[in-house]
Amino acid sequence: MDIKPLAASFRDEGNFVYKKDGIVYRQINKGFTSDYLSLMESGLYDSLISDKYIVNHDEMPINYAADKRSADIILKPEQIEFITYPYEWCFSQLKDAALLTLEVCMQSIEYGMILKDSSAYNIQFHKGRAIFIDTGSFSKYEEGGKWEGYQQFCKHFLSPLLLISKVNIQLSNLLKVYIDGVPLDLTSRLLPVKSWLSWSIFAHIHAHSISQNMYSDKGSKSSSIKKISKVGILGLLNSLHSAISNLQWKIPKTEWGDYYNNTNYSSNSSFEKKNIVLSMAQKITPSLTVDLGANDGLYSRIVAETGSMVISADIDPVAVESNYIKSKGDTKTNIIPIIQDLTNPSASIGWAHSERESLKSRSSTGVDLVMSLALVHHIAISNNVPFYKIAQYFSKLGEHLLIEFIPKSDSQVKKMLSSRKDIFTEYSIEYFELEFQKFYELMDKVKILNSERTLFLMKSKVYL
Amino acid sequence: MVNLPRLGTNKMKIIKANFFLSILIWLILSKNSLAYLDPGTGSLIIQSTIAAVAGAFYTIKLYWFQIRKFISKVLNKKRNID
Repeated sequence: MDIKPLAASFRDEGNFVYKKDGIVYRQINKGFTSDYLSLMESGLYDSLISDKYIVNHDEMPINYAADKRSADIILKPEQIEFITYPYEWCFSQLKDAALLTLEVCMQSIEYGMILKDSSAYNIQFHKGRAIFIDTGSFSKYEEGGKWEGYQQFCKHFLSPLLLISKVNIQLSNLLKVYIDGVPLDLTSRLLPVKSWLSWSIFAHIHAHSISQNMYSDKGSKSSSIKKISKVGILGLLNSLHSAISNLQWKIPKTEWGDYYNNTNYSSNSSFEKKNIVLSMAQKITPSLTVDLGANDGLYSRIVAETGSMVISADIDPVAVESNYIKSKGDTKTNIIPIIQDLTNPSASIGWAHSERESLKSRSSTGVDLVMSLALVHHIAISNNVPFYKIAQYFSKLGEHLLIEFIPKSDSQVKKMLSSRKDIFTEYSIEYFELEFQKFYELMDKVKILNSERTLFLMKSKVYL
Repeated sequence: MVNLPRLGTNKMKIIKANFFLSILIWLILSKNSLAYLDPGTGSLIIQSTIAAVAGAFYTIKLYWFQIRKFISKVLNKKRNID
């Protein structure tokens, strides 16, 4: 009997999430069940389920509890196979998560409830869409009361979305540093002057930030804060909803945005590469695949059609955005696009270095296949990482590896070497195979017709 | 169909502009502290102010279309009778 509380679930004394024998459960403690019962009995839960806004759950017998002395109700929620974090999402993923949070909150109010908090970590991507996972986040709404999640919403969602849309896409990385959302005074400072002319940005960011600074050293007397009517709360939520719905991200031309039109494949070899990838994937029949350097998910889709769930990771936010737009609403394949810089992948951060997990610890069931197509030359040449170290890292990420080797004679690699000194004397297919076989057993090797490139399928000797 | 003014008309813009200019003036004239010990209080206070305004806009938005539809119907009936 192996019980592990989830490192991120400790701030609410009324309920928490844990893993028992690899399955995630939520324990609601004695004395804290009235909100949950209202959620179920008011009709709110059924309404959210029918809209597919929230994870469904089953109630379990008490022997599933993590701590039987304090437990009252145990829930087994729909399991999320691979957790992703807001700082890994592209613009539209963050926008959809924000709008979902507001819609859940607005619907809750109709049933006499409200969201206690509006953390971006309450949302996950599951079966191609955003879904709300924090069943313990609902509390009874009494007219006159404030919305406790307002400040958090502005920091977790509104701030980064405005910064991406109006300043620069790279600012989404601020969510890695500020894991409780971007501080409003920073956002206010970074937004352009003309943002002061927008009513909603002025109110929710600029005025909000000034108000925070003004009252930061005064305690609050609850009598001095006016009551807020129900229409006021709905108006506030509505205002945030319109502000975010209207945000657009003008997609810049990045080096990867137009990739598939500019590569050096003859259309024959691209067709052949797709076939080879498909047949190699079919040999493995993976349940969970991680596609590194996936760009807009072209090859992720091919593997996803074999039935695998695919985490489609790329460093370029334009490519990830394009991938997400394509996969949204596609019910046949299960793809989750995320932004990852492989030379600096998501680390373990948050309280005690463990609240938010690193990329390689993320999967509970294990990664069956790692794909690395048209990628290794970037890491080896642009980043000077030796084959040995690449093989060592990849071999710990997943059980099998489908990898493409691109030699120096290829035009893309020639371009890379044209602006730097060629110190890569050991960059060759023979050396590549030699180093990788220290960590892998070779299963298959196929040269792509009409190109210089070779695809390999390998099995890790060290993956647990 | 009679064309009634939409929400984004000049009148509405002037009301919005006046409102947030007055908030701006109020904020600038108030004393300013830079300590960041507790942002919670400030958030609550601004929330009640924004909610009051946003609530008013929301109510108008909710009822605006109903009012518009009703007036259109009445005016159309008059036209048909003439």
